[in-house]
Amino acid sequence: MVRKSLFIFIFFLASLTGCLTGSNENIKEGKYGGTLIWGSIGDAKILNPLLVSDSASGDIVGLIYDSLIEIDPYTLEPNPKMAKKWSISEDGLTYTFYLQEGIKFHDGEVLTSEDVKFTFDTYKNPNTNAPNQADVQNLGTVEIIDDYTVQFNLNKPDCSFLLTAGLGIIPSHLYKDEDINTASINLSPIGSGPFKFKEWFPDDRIVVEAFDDYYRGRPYLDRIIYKVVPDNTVLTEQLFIGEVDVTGIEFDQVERFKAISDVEVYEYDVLSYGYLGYNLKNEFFKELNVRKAISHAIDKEVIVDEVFLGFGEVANVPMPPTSWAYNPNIETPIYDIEFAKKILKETGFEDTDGNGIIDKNGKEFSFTLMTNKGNKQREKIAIIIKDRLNKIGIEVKIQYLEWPTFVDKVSGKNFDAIILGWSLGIDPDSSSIWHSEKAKDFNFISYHNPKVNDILDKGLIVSGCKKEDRKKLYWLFQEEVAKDKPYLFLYYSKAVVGVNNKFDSDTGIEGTPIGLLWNVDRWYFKD
Amino acid sequence: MSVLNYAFRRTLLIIPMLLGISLISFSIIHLAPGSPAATILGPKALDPAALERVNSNLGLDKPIYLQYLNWISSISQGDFGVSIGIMPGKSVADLIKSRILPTLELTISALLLALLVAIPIGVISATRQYSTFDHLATIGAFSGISLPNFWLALMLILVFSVELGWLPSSGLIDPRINNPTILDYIRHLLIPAFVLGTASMGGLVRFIRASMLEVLRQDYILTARAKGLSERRVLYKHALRNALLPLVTIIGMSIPGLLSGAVLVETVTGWPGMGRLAVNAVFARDYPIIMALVMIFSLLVILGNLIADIVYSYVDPRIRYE
Repeated sequence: MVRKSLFIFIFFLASLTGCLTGSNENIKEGKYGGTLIWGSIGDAKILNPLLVSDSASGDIVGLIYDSLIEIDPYTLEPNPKMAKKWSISEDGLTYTFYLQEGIKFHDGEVLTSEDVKFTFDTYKNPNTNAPNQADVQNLGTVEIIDDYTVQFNLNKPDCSFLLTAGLGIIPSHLYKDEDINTASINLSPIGSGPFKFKEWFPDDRIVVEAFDDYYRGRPYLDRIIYKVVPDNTVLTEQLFIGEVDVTGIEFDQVERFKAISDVEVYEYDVLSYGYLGYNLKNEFFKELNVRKAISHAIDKEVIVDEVFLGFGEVANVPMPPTSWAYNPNIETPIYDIEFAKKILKETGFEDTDGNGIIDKNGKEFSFTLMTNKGNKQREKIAIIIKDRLNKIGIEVKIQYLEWPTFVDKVSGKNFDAIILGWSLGIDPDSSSIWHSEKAKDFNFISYHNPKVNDILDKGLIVSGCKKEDRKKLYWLFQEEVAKDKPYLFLYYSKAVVGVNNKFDSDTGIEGTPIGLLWNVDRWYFKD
Repeated sequence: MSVLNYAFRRTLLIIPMLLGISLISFSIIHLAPGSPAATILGPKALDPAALERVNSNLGLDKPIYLQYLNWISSISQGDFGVSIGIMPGKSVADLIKSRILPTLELTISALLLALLVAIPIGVISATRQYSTFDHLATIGAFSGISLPNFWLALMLILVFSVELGWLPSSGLIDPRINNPTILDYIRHLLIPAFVLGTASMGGLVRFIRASMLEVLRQDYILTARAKGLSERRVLYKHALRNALLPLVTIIGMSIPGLLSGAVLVETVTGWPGMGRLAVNAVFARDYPIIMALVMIFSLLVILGNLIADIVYSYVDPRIRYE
């Protein structure tokens, strides 16, 4: 399943990215049978594509449910999946999808336009606890033209809408009389994807099995077991000794795994970035010069080297280099403590009482830096930032909060500064983070720049959604944000996943922007 | 008759006690910052509008006394409700039921293991007080008490699973095994049960040693020796039986603990027990699960105490209930 919108990767990484060299010509022929054990630190919560918010649930839902389109892992363009083709009207308001005939749900029922309409209508319903409901905010109605033709009518043009068709289609015949949020089928799902649900022992394992009638052909593997191993060290060791076949590898373990031949290590960039976000209503941070000074006082290279052990890159803009809209021309502020001090002094900050902390108008520059508890990397970054800012006379108090409490503070705009990350969708639209008028859902820092609003609006209504035209706008957008410095962009990190050497796939196993297991239905055991 | 009367009155008291406990814990849990909507929405919870929408769908925007009344009315019909955080829609009763067996399996085998080791060591330590064996046992006992559980578990996994490959490293059962035998289950149980067992073993050794020493000073032991009974008979027939009596109380009191599980050991060894369920529920602010667990454990503690009090009146004739 593909998500078009933003996603902070507090949990484990779901969407992954990479520089690739596709080798589609050499399609191999695999053999059938076998079980793959996929290790995860956390259990899934809910197996309904509309309600998924964590990566574990997303992993399983991706095996069980199929969508109208899929993302090409190499070009990141939408490709036909359950829809054999689609058309978009001249005015960008009508999207028509033509379904493949004869696609079956795991219970044998045929998938039709009815199911597509039901899925999207339910998604839009405010009573549905759908985390990504904002994806369909411009969707007006869904019309059934015939059993295999379905038409989406938008209220206004939205270039990011097409990727919403990456949503898994749920069976209307099983859901229509149920409460979508609590239906029992959310826990024993029936989709039309390559694998069908077998069983779920909470906090232990989820088992899925090959679906014989899958319209793209039965997967090679008989079974995938999603195994919950709550301790990271133990999980890593299980990959090492072959008790699990696939799982993420911590950066400090990569060398060890590269040294053994049983496990193949895959490294790739992810569509995400990490940042230090300022509350722009804060009396210190509302001054551009303060944000500018901080940008010169923090050496991002150290963060990439020490925290990510080099598995990442320094970030400058709110868009990762893997995105087609990434603007490579924006420079990183040079790390220069003296320069930072100078800016602060010129802005009126001085240590008048000699206690080592600068002040202005009788107020000492001291603030609380929050991040979510349990994210080791962010906790380390907080310590580095505290240390560097101390050097320019700013006092930092660090607070690690567990997720529900953190959410309470941040969504209530009750914070000074935070360390967080965004996982982005394929589409570069990020109105929900940066727009100050319309889709301002995640603009908790209270960023406001009319020019940015305007660019983001235009980016969604470009005639014909031409990539080149949109790209120019998003480059401009990145320049504006880089000038305003509402975040200090810190890093683009990589994902590292290990796979037991006994697996291969038709087209090889490759880490891509849409994950490593994107083609797991074509994975098989080598001889 | 008087005991029955007493038991009846105490049983009646359970209801107001549980009501009080539920009122206090319900308030505290709901006063804690954050809501289950933060878990349901994940990263998207940072959108205040989405948070509000889901809170309202869950009925969490209603006044807290109304939420409490709703909860009381369903629980009085035996309905624990459904999870709203860790597995939205899953029946809380089912979730708890699925944990009882693995939890008991782990805690009871740990307790048995601890007793099997601790009783002989404690007894020998007491009879040979200040001997080399006693000193070694004392060192061992304190090491057992002070070794962090999670560390010991990790070390055992590294040695027995990773290096030697003798034992599986986590879970109830290897999901690859199609028809697991009893032996497969036991192999999975060994490390977690041993780790959990060592935690209570040390304390038990010290307790049995002290209790035994106490008994050995009693007049009736002197009498038994004076009668010319063999030392063996004195120790095992007269002393040990009396020394082990207080142990019954200790085991009785550990019953709620047996059911509530051990979160650290469960986490390191991937055991799907009650401890992990409780902790996950708290982090997810899954109110129905937290409340159900609080009520079940409260009831166990109250019943445990009641039974202990009643049993005492039989065991110790000096105790009378008015």
